[in-house]
Amino acid sequence: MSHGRADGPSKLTSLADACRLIPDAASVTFGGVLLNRAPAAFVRELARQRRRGLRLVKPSPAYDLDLLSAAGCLAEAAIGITTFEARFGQSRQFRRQVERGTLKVREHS
Amino acid sequence: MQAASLGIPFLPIRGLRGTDVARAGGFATVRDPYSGEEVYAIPRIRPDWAVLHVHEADEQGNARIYGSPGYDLVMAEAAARVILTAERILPAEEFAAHPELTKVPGIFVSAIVRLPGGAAPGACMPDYDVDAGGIGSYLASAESEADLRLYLERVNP
Repeated sequence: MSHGRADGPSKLTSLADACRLIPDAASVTFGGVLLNRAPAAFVRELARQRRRGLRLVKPSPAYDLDLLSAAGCLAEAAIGITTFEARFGQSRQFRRQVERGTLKVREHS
Repeated sequence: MQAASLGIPFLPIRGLRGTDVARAGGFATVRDPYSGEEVYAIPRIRPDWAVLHVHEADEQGNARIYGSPGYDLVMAEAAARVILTAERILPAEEFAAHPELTKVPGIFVSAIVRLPGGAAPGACMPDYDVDAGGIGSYLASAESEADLRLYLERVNP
C-alpha cells in the first residue's frame, strides 16, 4: 500500500483496475448522500465485473445500493435510509431483493 | 463509522433512547464513569474500502470536495483503504498552494481514477445536477436482467 508523499509515485489508475482492487465479499462504503455525489460510474463497473457478496455500509444510499442489488452484487446492506427521493420514488430493486430474502439488511436509523 | 474514524471501539449515543432501533440492533448500554448516565454503545464499523467521488484530486490522492462533504471525510478515515474517482486531476502544486481546501489527505488514498461525470446520473454540484432522464432510464432498465445488462453496456463508464 503506497502512502502519500508529495513526491511519491502517482496513484492514478484506470476505472477497471481500481474496481479490481475490491474483492468479492469485501465491505464497502460509498461517498455522497442519496442522489448527490455517489461514485455511480465506479458502481456500474463493479456490476460489469460481476462482483459478488459485497457488504455495503452507507447511511443514505440510493442509485448505488439499488443498482448493486439489481445486479446481484450484494450479500448485505447496513443502511439508515434509502430512496430515490420524491421525484423518482422508492428503491425498487433493493426492496425486491430484500423481499426475496437474497439480501440481508441491517437498519441503523 | 464515526467510531472507526476516531480509532475507538464504540461511540456513546443517547439518541436511540425510547426507540425500537436499539433493541433491533442489539445495542448494549454503558454507564458514563463521570456522571453515571447510561448511554448506548454503538460498535464501530470499519469498511474494507471507501469509494468517494470528489471534484478535484492530485496524483497523490489529496482531494477537494465542494459544497457539503456529507459523510465522506468520516468514511475516508474509517475505511481500511480508499479509492477516489475525480472530476478533475490538478497538479500537486495547486494543492500545496491552497492546503486549507484539501478535504481528504492523500495519505488515506490507495488509487485515483480520473472520471469526469462520475456521479451521473446523480448530481455533483456545482458541476452538474441530477439527470432526471438518466435516473428514469436506470429505473426502467433495472426491472429486468437483460435490460440492466444493456444499460450497463450503454452507460459506460
